[in-house]
Amino acid sequence: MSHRYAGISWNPQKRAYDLMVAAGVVLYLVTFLALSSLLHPAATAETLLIRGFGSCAFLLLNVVLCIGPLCRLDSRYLPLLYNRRHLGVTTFLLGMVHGAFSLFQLHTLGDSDPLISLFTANRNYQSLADFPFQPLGFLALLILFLMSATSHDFWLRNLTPRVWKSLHMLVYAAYGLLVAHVTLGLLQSERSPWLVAAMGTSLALVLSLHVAAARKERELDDSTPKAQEENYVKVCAVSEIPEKCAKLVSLRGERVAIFKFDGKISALSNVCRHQNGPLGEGRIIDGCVTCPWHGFQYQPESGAAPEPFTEKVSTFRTKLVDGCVWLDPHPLPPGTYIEPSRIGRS
Amino acid sequence: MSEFYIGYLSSAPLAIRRRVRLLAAAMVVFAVGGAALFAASQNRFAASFFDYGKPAEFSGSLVLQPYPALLVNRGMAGSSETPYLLVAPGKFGADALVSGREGRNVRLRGTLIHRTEGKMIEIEPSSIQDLGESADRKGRPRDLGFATLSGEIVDTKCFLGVMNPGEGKVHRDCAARCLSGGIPPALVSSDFDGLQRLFLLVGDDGKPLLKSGFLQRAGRPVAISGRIFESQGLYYLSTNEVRIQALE
Repeated sequence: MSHRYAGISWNPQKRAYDLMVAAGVVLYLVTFLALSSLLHPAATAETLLIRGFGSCAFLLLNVVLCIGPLCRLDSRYLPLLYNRRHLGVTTFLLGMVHGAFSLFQLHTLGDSDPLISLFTANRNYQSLADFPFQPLGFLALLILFLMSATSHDFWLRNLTPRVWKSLHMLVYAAYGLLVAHVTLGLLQSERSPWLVAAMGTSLALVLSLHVAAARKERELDDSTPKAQEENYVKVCAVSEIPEKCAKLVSLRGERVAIFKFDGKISALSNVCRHQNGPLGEGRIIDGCVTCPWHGFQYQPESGAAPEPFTEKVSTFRTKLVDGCVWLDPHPLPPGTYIEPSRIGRS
Repeated sequence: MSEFYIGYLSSAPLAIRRRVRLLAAAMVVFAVGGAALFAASQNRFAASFFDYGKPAEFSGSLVLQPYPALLVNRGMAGSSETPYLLVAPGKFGADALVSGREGRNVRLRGTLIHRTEGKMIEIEPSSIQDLGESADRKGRPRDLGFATLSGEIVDTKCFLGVMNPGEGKVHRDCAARCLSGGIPPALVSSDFDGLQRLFLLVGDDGKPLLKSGFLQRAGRPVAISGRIFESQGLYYLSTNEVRIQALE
């Protein structure tokens, strides 16, 4: 949870994660290169390296994009999300090897600067079929570079979570650019329907997982309060909230996590200040609400992170009436202490 | 209550560990399967070669127009000569390297680039030795008539073996760069006699075709009308910009 520019704090889980990623990448590259050399002895090493690294980066980006919605649908996959940025950096590095090899092969040793050549060698920008696909890959790589370079929490802190999140949402733009890069490039030259099917399947998987996750979120946002009275709305029965967990409600477009712990009820914003993780899917551990994404913690009564950390989220007033939780939907300034409602006193 | 995962702890709860292991195993299968699928699905690569790192010596007489070539007689006296198109290192033609040596016998060092459709030498710039005037006289070009051929405009250096694939959309940018640098342009077509052949593109005056006429048309299907002729074992298509039509 450090915001200092410190090295990675390794632990056995993190090591296992990175070893798996490295093994997967090596396995992919070795399989592709060995099999291609065997099946296509006339293929040049440069072409196979360009294709191997490029396809590996693209597949990995598909995996990266699937992790978010997968975790929204099933929290058992959260270990994949915890170190997702390592996957992102690996994707960029693989893409960079692909891009560097391609730039060298196709644009250097000629009568023009390679970077200028990248954008001007093929000038058919007005035609979809003939559209230059390499600049698309270059722009995607630029986005992946920006994301990799700012992946440390140091940048999250200094850019502010809002700017950082917006920057990292550009991954969808990078994905779109890469889908176009592959479709207007390799898929126009290769004749195998398997490659088109593989591209279609990966795209469909990414999209369907996002749609399924969005539907689940929408169900929550569409739920309406059971009753309203003065400043409070009735949101749920106390019995609906598991001990040391939360019930998520959506009021006026804002998600609120109502936690039950030690015979008390407290409500705070669902959005973690770290990476907008869903606090309502977290737990109370050591007396603190713990975000399921990266373990950031907040005191349920005040929404403030325990010292020495300084993150704060909004809190909400609650009251209990006849075993039901009533909530004032107006958020209080982040870090505002609110006495928890005590179960059994209503 | 379901188990809760915290990444900075040293181990994950058992059920989560099991689920992630299962997924990791699936990902391994996915990685191997994906790599195998891609490797097996690629188009067949042409049997083209660039003997990089293995330079050799070649002797013969030079032809400079319309594109530099070395005519090598490797057989008995009177046997036909094999034409080797000449190019410079990188994405450049050889015009500057052989300028002023029309009809001269030379010995040069270079790297062979070859494919069924033709042979080429990438010259080592300082290796050309002048051996005197060639006794051979250039024969008259053989006129093979007017025709419309469909195919793809390529840069001959990459097509003959420096790149593989040296054609198609993925190679288009490189082709434009090479052609811009003076690598001889050619139409690859099998329309003439059923065999895939290279037809070097020249203007109606028999000189190199203006680059503006073909640079942005490389790497995509075209139909070109013009007069076909053969000279010293190389096929030429004499045309102009107007007679190069893009095919959908």
